[in-house]
Amino acid sequence: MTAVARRRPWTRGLRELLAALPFLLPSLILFGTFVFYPLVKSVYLGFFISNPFRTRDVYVGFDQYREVLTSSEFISSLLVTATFTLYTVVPALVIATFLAVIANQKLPGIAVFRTVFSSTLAASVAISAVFWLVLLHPSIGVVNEILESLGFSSVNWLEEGGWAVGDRATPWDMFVAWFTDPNYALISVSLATGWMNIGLFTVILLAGMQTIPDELYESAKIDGAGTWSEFWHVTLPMLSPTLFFAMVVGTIFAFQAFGQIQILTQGGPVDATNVLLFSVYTTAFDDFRVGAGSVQALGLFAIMLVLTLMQFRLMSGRVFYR
Amino acid sequence: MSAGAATRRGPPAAQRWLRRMPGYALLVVCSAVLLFPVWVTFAYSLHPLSEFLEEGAPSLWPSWEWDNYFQSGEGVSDTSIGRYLFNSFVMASVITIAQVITATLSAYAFAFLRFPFKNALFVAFLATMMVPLEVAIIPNFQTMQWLDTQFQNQPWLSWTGLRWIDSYTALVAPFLATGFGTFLLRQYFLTIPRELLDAAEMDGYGHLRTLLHVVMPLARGALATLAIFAFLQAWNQYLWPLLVTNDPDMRTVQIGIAAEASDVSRINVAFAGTIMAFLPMLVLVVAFQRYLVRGLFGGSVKG
Repeated sequence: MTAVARRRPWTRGLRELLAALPFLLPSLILFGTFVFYPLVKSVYLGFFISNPFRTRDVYVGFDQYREVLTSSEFISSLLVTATFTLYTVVPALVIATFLAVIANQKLPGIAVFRTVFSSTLAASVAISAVFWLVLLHPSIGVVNEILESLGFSSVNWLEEGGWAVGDRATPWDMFVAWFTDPNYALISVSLATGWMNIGLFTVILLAGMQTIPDELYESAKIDGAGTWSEFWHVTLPMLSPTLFFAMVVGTIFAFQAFGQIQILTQGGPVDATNVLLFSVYTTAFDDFRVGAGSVQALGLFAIMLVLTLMQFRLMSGRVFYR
Repeated sequence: MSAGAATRRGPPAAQRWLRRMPGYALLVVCSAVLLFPVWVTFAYSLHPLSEFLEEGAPSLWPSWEWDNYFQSGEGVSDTSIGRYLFNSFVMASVITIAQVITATLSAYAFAFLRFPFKNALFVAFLATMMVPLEVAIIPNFQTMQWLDTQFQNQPWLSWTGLRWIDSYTALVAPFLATGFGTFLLRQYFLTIPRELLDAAEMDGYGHLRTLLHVVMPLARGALATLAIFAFLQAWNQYLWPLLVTNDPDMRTVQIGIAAEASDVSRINVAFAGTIMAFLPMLVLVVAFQRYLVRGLFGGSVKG
């Protein structure tokens, strides 16, 4: 083997590395401190049971992993997160597809509507939470007002400043306590999040539609396709990779949901909206069970890892037909 | 295709507009429904507090009470929405500038320099995108606490006066570098013709001058994409600011409006704050939509 001929002097490699380091070092230090070290630290923290009095942490090895990941609390918050994902992604995707289709018409001034339809993407979770609080608030909410004017009876809602669940006169009165009724809390929180997703999805889908060649629509017209069959046989199949991409992005957002829950329901009532990240937060920072919180966070990480890898695959050009 | 040709071939203008009416009507109705929550909050933000204390929902038409937008002092905190907005602006600006700097530097190295372990390091940078900050909050919070103690107790650190809790440093620290930004910029840098860099080298340009005077001007679009993403994300951040700030004076606007909204006696101020926090991002998204789309797809579509 002619290793000698191929080998470059190691000093040259070192010199190159030293030349490149100033460019990389700022990022490397930050990533090391705030991304890689925390991951390792989380795994380590998971080995210890911390007690609320923060005296001494007890080493329990993988026992805590087994216990937390199979606990009914974890499974239930996983289910809540999955339901939340379903509620925030699927309806928003349907609505966004509709909006993208009507905003893809060739009309003068259509750009204005494209912008309006994408605008909800500018809202943060806190902002959209307030927007929906305004609609669904027990005393000043518009939705209840509308329901009431349609003849559904009124309920004492704001008792002593709290958001009390009122006495129910008819089944319709359940609508009143949007955020405190276990049957409606998750839907209410999902409304706020789904609304944000509509804008994001519309932007993504409109971009996807630009890549559908006009010839396909022209030949569909020649074949006598109407608007509806054009949608089913041209737009939807050509758009399906983009739809899938939007779905993955929406799912990632759903698993990162925290602010809207914290503002609107605090995970309640009776854990009905206790999504994974909120559970991580309360376990670690309210109950001071840092180890258990870390294990939950790692469980969340495993799920996010799979989702992000899917997103990368879709992003690397495979989404779009050339 | 000229407008004249279309007119000659198509039906008369009036008839054409009439045929478009249902299309426009649908678009307008959809816009109104989608923006209804924004409108209600806007209308509420212009009602005096008394409207909210009466029974029933206030009017959907504003009573133009602009005081809500300038009020500060009472209620949950002595802090005004203005202060919250200022904090958010400082935080988002620092994060944006820092991300542009760190990502440009590392993307330059990955795109143009030759050095050992390049691929391994690039994979490590990409890997950071798979670790959302949400997953790392517990150790990161502990790190900040530890740093804060060190900076207060160690004589060789305390002279800096740096605080790692309840400070701008705490708000920005974990977000100063970006794997996404590095990837985005590197992809763009790779499309820059090699000859331009060779020419710069022959002119005696060092790396830094090449970066500043050749590469960055050419990559303005990609830099804008990164900057807008960074600012939007930083501004809309919720979990981290909630964790590292206790002092109302250090709250960002997101935390601020959430705190105000939880107090019935300040709810009018919360609505005004919500509108004020939303408007800048709305302008940003509307003005730079093209860059935003490019970023969403990791720079893989031409916006």
